[in-house]
Order: sequence, then structure tokens, then C-alpha cells
Amino acid sequence: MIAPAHPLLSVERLSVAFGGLQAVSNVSLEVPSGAIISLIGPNGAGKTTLFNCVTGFVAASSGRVCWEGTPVGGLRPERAASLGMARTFQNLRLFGSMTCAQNVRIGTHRLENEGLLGAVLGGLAWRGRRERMERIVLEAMAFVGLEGEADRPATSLPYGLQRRLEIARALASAPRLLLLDEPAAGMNPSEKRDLAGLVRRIRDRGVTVLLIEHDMPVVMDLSERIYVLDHGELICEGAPAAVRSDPRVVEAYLGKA
Amino acid sequence: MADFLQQTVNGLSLGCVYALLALGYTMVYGILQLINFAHGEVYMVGAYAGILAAGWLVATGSSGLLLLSCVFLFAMAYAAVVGLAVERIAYRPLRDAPRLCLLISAMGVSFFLQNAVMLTQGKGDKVFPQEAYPAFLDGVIPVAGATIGVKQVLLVSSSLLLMAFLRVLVLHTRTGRAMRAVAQDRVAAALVGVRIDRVVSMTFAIGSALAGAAGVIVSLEYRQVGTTLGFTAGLKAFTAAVLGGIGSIPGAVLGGGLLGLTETYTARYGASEYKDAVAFVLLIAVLLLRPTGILGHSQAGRA
Repeated sequence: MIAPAHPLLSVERLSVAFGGLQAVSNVSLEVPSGAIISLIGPNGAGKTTLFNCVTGFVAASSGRVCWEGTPVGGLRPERAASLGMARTFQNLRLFGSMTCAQNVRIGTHRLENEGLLGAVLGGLAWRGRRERMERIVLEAMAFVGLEGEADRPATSLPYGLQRRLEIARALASAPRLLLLDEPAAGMNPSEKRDLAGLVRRIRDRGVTVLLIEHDMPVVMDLSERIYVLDHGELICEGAPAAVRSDPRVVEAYLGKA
Repeated sequence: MADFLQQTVNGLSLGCVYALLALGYTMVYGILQLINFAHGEVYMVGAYAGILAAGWLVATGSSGLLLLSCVFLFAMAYAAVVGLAVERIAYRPLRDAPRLCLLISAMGVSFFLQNAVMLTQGKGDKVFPQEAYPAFLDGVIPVAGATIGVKQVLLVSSSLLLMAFLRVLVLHTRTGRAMRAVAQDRVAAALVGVRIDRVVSMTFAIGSALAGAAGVIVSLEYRQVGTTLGFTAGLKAFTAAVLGGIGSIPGAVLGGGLLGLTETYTARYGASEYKDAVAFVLLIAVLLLRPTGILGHSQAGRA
């Protein structure tokens, strides 16, 4: 098998500064297509800032982000979405007053195109498109294990299921790269195991995953490669076993002995 | 009874004007949490555009329902363009500035539009051309002993048609879904690929087009308009939007209708000089009992 020439996403010497605060400095990482890659590090290490920069929510002060080898400068969130990136948030960002299905339906935004005329007249082509979108919604909900919850208000779901709903919304946009920001936060051990299984199934359907996670068993179990950030800098990268035993990582998490 | 029916129809037709305007306020508020104080002026510009279009169309020899439809379309399109320009020039650069800056910018736009119209169209009132005014509008339909003007029926039904269109647009189209998503959480909407700037532009265009239609309705009703038309109407429509629950589209329609009826009934059965006061007393009463308006949601819920 020939490896693709370029990784799906590569971050090259990326820095993000907020005024005098260097949130991310000179970080490079690569996310090959079809992989599960993790980003770990203590609180405030700059992981979420890196996510925000890659998905166009904050601007880089230097360095660049490449999508399949092509630099994508000055990325905006909607452009990131149209490239095929989808993400979830550390603090949930569901549309609170909508039902579960409506939330996921918004996820199909970039796939569809239906005008007012079609909606008023209800032509055949328009109906076909609408049904296709509704199938995508149901499929995404079933995939994350939320079948039968379509008409339930999104915020009435238990916390763990709201996280799954957010993943379903991201999947509904048919992404190529899914960025998950602490998906296991606040989950109990059995929910975490289910989540790990879900992430693996997402990868198996061809979606590359970049994961921020604090839960070490989950990270060690899932990741093919781990990048460790501390104070905005990349301090270590490698396979799970290597990272686990790296003294710099132990020090960053536990402090110097 | 007959008189009551008559008053109800009058109230509803006034209510439709308020509702069409209130929709613009409420939609923009829903998306940007901005009270667009220039909205009343967009309505006034729409009324002027309609009158000018009527003048040109009469010169080309058209008349009747065709002329009326063209006048509506022109005024709506013109108002939409003005609304788009206002958003692009006066609001977008201030999107991330404190709310107060936007509010002051809105007031500036409002003065600018009033004076621009005064400069180009003169200070005096603009009269709807007599030749362009379709005679059938003055016809009456006898209903249960009362007479209902053809004009009122036409104006109420065209308003309802526009509102029905808006409902389909918001509930069943991609643009409408994007609007609802942006109103709830701008960041999450951008994340799934919604282009925020385009949604904001669409919102202004739609709201302004509805204001343009309301402008034509008023110029048909009163047969003449002035540059200060937008001020009181804007204030009333804003009241209607708050009454119904600002940010809520059905609320704007309900608030508009309620305000129109209250004003008309007060003018007829109470004291006409108190009609404005009663409208605002109603507002205060509703806000005391239900601070979010009749159909409004609490701010905490929308986060």
C-alpha cells in the first residue's frame, strides 16, 4: 500500500499569542489520514487554543496550518467546515431550544441547498433532498446510540448523551477530520469505555480523529500517536508507551520530585 | 356589533403594519441582540420608494393590481438594499464592539436616512399619486351589516401572505435553519459551517423588505407620508416586538396585532387622544407580569 503523500492535517511551527501571553508556541504536529491522534497536557497547556486555531476561531500569530499539504491561511470557521473539519467543544455548545434531531440537522448545513421556492412549492427534487438529509440525521443519531431520541429537547438529555449528540451533529456534516475536545469529561468509567468504542467506530468509518483528552486510560487505549503540550510548547511526542514513560511528561503532570 | 366588526378590521390592518415592522426588530434582535433603531427609517424609505415607483409606473400606463404588485416589489427590494447597506456600513464593523456603540451607530443611521430623504425628496409630505391609486381599493364589501373596505382586506391578506412566506422560510429552508442556529449560538453555528455574515445580511434584507411592504401599506392607507413617518411607527413596532417577546417571530405578529387592536378600540370606544398612552400602559402591564413578553423565552435559557 502506498502511503498518501501528505498528512490530512499538518500544523507547522504554529504560535498563538493573546497580547503578551504565548498560548501556543512553535508547535508542529501531523495528523495522517485514518488515524486517531491525541493531544494531552496539563490544564492551560494550550490544547484548546490549538484546536481553536486549527478550526479558524482564533488567528495564528505565526506558523501555518496545512490541509492535505496545502496551506490554509486566515482560516474562518465556516471555511474549516467546508474543508471537512468538524469539532465538539469542551463545554457543550448545543442549540438549547431545539430538539435532538434539529440540532443534528443543522450539522447537514454544508451539504444541502434548498431554496424558499422549493420549500413553498414542495417540488419532487426538494422533497428528495429533504428526505436524504433526514436520513443522514437519523443515521448519525443511531450511530452514536441516540435512536428514538429525535424529538426530545436537546438539553433534556443526560450530560453524557449530550456529548454524544454533539458528536452526531459533527458527523452529520460528513467530516473528514473530527476534532474532539475532552469528550470523556464528566463521564463514569463505563460511559468512558463506550465512548472509546464510539471513537474507534468513527475512525473505522473513515473519519480521522484528533482528540484532546485528560483521561489517560482512554488516551492510551485509543491513540496511535500522542503529542504532549505544556505551557504552550510541545514537550514530547510518540507512541503511547513511549509517552507514558517519558520523564518530561511525568514532570509536567506531577511536578518535579 | 357592525361597528365593532368594522373597528376590528381597522385594528387588524393597523396591527399588520406594526407586525411587519416588529418582525424586522425581532429578527435582528434574535441574531445580533441589537435593537436596530434605524428600522423605522428603512420603513419610511420603503414608503417613499413605493410612491416614487407608483409615479413612474403610472407614466408608463400601467394600472390596477399589476401596478400595485410592482410598487410592492420595488419598495421591498429598495428597502432590502438599504437595510443591507446599513448593516454592512454601520453595524458590521462594530460587531465585536460593546452594544452601546451599535446603538449609537443605529441612531446615527436613523438621522442620516431621515435627512437624506429630506434632501432628495423635499421637506413636505409626499402624496401617493392619485392616478396610480387603484379605484377598486375604495370599494366596500358588506358583511353582517358592516362594511369592510376592499383595501383593508387586501392589506391584511397581503401581510398575512408575507408572514406565511416568512414562516416557511424560517422553519423549512436551509437559510432559516441557519438563522435559528445563529440566533442560539453564533460560535456553534460557525462551527458547523454556517456563514455568519451571510446569515446576518439575509436577516437584514428580509426584515427590511417586510418594512418596505409596511411602508407601501401605510402610504396606501394615508395616501401621503412624511420623513418623520418612521419615528413613531418604529417606536410602536418596537413596543409590539417587546410585547410579544423580543426575539420571537410569532410574538412579533401577536404583539403587532394586539397593539393595533388596542389602539383602534381605544380611539373608538375610549378617548382617541389616549390611544398611544394605552398602548404603552399595555406594554408596561405585560412586562410587569411577564418580563420576557407574551411568547418570549427567558435570557437564561438562550445563553
